[in-house]
Amino acid sequence: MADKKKKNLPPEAQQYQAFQQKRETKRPLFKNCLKAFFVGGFICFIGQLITTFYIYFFNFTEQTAGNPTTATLIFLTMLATGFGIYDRIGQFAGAGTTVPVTGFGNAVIASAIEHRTEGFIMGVGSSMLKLAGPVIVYGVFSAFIVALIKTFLTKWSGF
Amino acid sequence: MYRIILMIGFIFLFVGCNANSNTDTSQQGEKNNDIELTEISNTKTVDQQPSNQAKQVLQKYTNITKVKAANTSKLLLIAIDIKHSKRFSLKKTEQYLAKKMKKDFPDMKVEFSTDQKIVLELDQLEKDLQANKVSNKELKKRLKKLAKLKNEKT
Repeated sequence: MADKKKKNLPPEAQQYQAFQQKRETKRPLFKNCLKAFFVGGFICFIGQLITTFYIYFFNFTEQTAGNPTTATLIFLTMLATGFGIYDRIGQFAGAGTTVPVTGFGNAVIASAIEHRTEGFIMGVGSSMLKLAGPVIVYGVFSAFIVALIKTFLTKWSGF
Repeated sequence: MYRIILMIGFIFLFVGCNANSNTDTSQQGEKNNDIELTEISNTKTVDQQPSNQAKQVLQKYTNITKVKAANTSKLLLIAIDIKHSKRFSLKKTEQYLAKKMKKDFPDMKVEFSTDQKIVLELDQLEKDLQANKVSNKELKKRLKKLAKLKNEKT
């Protein structure tokens, strides 16, 4: 599609595109992936530590320790976002900090801080989930679709 | 170029998953010496013979690293820990062994778990049993509590 669009451009524009493509600074894709992998992995490592902590010191099993772990991670991210630490880590690691559940906590609290000046109801209250809202909507929607597919497969095809 | 790398990545991913999920649960060896188990002998509570028997059976499976078990006259609670690389097929292993244990002890209510928490708690209970610290009533109470904890979903 992109190639088709390019062919329709006037020759000057095509020439310019070739010119700028040569001089464009290349994104260090591999390096970014590595950073995201390690920082994201480290966040998951912290999550695993918290899970183990809950299993050893509280009455949680492997299955039930997941919920308090998620809550703790989101709480820690909210603190880190409020103190401005998470933004710095996010700038360094990119997707590594947004893909784990901590990214969700960051999205909520960052919008809350941003819209605080507009008041608590119309500012914080209504804008808090501006970024995180789509995550919830599409999360619920895709879970519904997957559940539907699973129901069809298990009920009618006897898997 | 990226497409090729992506495709190769996916192939490796799926091949990797396949290789791991192919673990055979019925893999039995002569006797697994690396396994962590203690046979309980005490005088204060119900005879722990069923637990010891279950441990002897499970000892033959090479994928198991720890077996903990305790029983009352009606309830037998078994918890195992399996090799980390075999955790991909944890559910399958659990189902297979739970079925086998239920078949081996038809007169008892068998609760089978692979949960780390149950392993930990049963380990403590075994130590207390070995040291004759637990009364019959307390054993019943603790096992009932663990069975309830095992079946908790949220």
